[in-house]
Amino acid sequence: MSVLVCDNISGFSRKSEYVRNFSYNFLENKIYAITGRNNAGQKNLLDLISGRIPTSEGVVYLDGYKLINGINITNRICYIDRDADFPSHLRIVEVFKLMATVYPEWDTFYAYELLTYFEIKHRTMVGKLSPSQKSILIGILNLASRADITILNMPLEDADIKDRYDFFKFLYDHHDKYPRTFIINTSFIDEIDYLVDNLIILDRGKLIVRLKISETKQSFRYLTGKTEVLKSLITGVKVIGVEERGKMLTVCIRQKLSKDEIRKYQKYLIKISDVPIQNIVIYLITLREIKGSLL
Amino acid sequence: MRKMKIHFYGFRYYYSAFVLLLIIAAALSLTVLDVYLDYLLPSLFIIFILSSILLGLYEYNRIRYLHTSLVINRKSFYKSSLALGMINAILLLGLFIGYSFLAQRFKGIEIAFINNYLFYLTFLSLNYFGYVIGNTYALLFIRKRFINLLVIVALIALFIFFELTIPIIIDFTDQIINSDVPKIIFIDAGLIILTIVLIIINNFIFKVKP
Repeated sequence: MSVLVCDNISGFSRKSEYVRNFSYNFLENKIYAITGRNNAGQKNLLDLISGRIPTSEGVVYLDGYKLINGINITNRICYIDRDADFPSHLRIVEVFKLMATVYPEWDTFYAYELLTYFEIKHRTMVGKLSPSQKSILIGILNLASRADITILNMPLEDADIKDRYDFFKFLYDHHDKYPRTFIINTSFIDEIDYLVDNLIILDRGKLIVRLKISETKQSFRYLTGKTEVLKSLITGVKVIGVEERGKMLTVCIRQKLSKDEIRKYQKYLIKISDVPIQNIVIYLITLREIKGSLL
Repeated sequence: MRKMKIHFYGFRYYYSAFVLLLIIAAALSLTVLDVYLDYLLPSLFIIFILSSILLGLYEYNRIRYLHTSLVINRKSFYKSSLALGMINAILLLGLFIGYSFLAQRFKGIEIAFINNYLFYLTFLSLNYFGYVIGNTYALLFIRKRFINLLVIVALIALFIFFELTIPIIIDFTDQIINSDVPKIIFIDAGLIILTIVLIIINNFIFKVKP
């Protein structure tokens, strides 16, 4: 069992407060995605929930035990950051050996399989890897650790779109074979929407929205039609985003549509479509910023 | 030992290069050198202390990041670091004694410290203290340019204004080796207490520092 409970945690330094009153339960065998703007505090949140840095307020529990100075967490949480700092003389094969000593479930065979797939030689020195290869290596290390909770910060951000797609496919298959909890901080949420169970959106260190990916498709819809017609139809509907191009208006509504409503929109030639999750994130953050500026 | 593997992989080249340089220097000093023979052991003593400081610096400035990149729990690194400091001091002591015997055999240098337990205590405490000082400096100051500059200025000032010259340092080191410094046992005790205090401070900083 591996349940990570964040009980009202905050993290602040002398200069700023980077995470504010974050409470959330990361349940077993689920995949979570964390997203937000660049300075929203996702990296700091990962540092706090992994026990890498102590919380300023609040407590993080792993299976009921305090994370910091509690039970031995070394091999239960794997969090190798994209900024991981390895001495440049270290070879990949040596990093694998180190991983094997730290993580009891470490899967050397799988790590080699991925290295071969991504065409990285195992004798290469870490210092000689390109940024793209380094980000792939870090992804491989996280994946092959098979730790109960695996945390990925901007995985494969430096890699190209094909490698990223393949990596997440590997992640999906591996999670299917060895279920465990993944917490992924990413900007490419649409690329991984098929594997994520829950989405957490942060803004200025605060959790603003938590969504179940499976429900977002019903809860958020795009309505597209002639501006005049659509405007008259959406009075009283909760609109979170508006895009106007020429005479056409597209609105993103946060509402489950009933059959009657769908029929009504279709009658007026309004097109109903799915909203990409990335756009939902953008609308929600924009909405919050507008609200903040009005206050 | 499994826990020390990260240290092992991180230090391999550092230690190999150090030992290689030492072997070359030792071979040269025992074959080619015919002057300044009295300087040999004190110089080696000073080199060892400096290498301990550098080791401590390298450890907390480089190996620490390797460790924290791979493993979240910092306690294992801290414990390995303490063990490594002791292993390093004992290893250097062995090398020093070994070199002293060779120097006695090939160059006829007298070694009076061999039966003096105070020498061993001083050697170990000075090297471990140097190592811990290196740790503390790497933890607190290494990325602060102003402090680094200040240290360089302080060292220059020490040499220029206080007329600290190499013969003076060598002479003082020779006294330390032969335990001729008055009340050296108190100096050793002070060093040990200071080392323990620094270890506790390091532990506290290391735990909370991102």
